[in-house]
Amino acid sequence: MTLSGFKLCATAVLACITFSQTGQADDSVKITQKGKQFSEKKVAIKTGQDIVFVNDDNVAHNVYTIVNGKKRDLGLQKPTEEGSIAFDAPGTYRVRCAIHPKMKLVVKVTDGEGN
Amino acid sequence: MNIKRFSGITSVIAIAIASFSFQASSEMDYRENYKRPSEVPYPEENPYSAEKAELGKMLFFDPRLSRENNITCGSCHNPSFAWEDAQPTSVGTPMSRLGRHTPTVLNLAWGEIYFWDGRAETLEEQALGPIQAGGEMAQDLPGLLEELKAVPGYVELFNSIFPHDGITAENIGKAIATYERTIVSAEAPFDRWIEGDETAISDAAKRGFKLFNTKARCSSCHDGWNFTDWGFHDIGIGDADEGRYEVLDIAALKHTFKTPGLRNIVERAPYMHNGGMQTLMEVVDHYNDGFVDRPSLSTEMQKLNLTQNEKADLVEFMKTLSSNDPAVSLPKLPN
Repeated sequence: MTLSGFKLCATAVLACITFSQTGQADDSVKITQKGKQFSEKKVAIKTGQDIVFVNDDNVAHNVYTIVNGKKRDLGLQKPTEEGSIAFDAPGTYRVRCAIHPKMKLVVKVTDGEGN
Repeated sequence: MNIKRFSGITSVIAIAIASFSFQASSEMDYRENYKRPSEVPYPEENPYSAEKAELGKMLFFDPRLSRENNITCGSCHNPSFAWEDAQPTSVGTPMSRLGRHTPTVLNLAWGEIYFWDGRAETLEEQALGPIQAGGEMAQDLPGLLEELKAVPGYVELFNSIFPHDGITAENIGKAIATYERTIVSAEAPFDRWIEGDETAISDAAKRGFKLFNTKARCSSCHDGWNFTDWGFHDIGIGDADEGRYEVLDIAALKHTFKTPGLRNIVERAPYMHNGGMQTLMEVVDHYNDGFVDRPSLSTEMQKLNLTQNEKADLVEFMKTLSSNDPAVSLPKLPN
C-alpha cells in the first residue's frame, strides 16, 4: 500500500469512527450482552429512538424482534460487534437472542416529543 | 547466597504463588457456575401441587393418550434409559421411524423453549405436541377428551384439580408439564465435588472438567448446573435437517438444534439430534475435528487439537454426571 493509499484508508476509518460516534451521541439507548444476558430486562424509549446492542460477551449473539409485523434481525454479532434497531412506532416489543432464547428484553416505546 | 540471588528466587516463588492462586481462583470461579439449584421452578400460570403432578404422571404413562392406545409418553421418554429410548430415532404410531432422536425429559423445569427446534414456547404446549403428531401418538385432541371423559376416575381427578373446567386439552398439558418438572436428576459425584468433596471424582475427571471449560470449549454452550445454555447451535453434523431454521428463518439458525443438557449422559446414548453417535468418545472426536464446516457452523466450533489423553479425561469427567436416580414406579390408572 502506498503512503497516499494508507492516508486515504486512515481518513476513511476516522470518518467511519466519527460517524459511528455521532450516531451514538444522540439519544440512542445502549444495551449490552454479557454472560448470555441483556444488561436490562425492560427498557422504555420514545418513538424514533434507537437501541444499540453491543456484544460484550465471549460468544456470538443474534438479536431480533418483530416491529410492525416485520422481523428486525441484527444478524450474527461476534464478540465486540454492535448493531442498532430503530423503534418507530409506539408499542411493546419483545427482543430476544435467536441463539440464546433465555436472553429476553421487553422494549416499551411511547410517543416522543413532537410525534 | 547473595541478596540479588535471594531476591531472584523470591520473585520466582512469588510468581509461582500468584500463578497458582490465579489458577485456583479461576477454577473456583467456574466451579461456582455449576452449583445445583436448591428449588425446582414452577411458572405462576401453572403452580405445583402434588395432586396435579400425580395426575400428570398417570397421563404420562397412560397408553390411552395415543390413537391406537398402545404407546405412552414413556414409550420414548423411558425412565429406564434416563428418559430417552436408547435408539437413534424412535418409532411412532404407524411403526415408522421419527426424524430426530428422543430428547430426555430430565431437568426440563429450567428449560426455555422446547423440542430440538424450539417450536413450543412452554412445557405445557410441548406436552400436547407428541400426543397429536401424526408420526408419534397420532391422537386428535377432541377424541382424547371424549375418551378421558368416559373414565369416571379421570373426571373426578380433573374436576378436583381443575374445578373451573375439568378435563380440557389445556389442563392435560398443565398436568403433564407439572409432572415433567418434578423429573430432576439427583445428586451426582460431580455435585459432591462441586460442594467440596475432593475425593468424589477422579483426577482424570478433574482434568476433564478443566478442559471442558478451557481448551475443549464445551462450556461455551454446555454451561450451568444442567450443562446447557438452552440455546441453538450448528455443531456441524452433516445431515440436511435445518432444525430451528425451519421454525424461525434467521440465517444463523440454519442446522441449529437445542443444546442438550449433559446430566446422566452416559445412560443416554446414542447421541446428537439424529442419534448418529454411539459413544461419548465419538462425540468428543466430532468436536475435536470431525464437524462439517459450512456457513451456519457456530462460531464457537473450532478445531481443538486434543490429545488422546485429553479426550479420555473429558469422557471421564462426563461420567461423573451420572446420578443413579431411583427407579420410577408405574402409576395405577383409572379404568
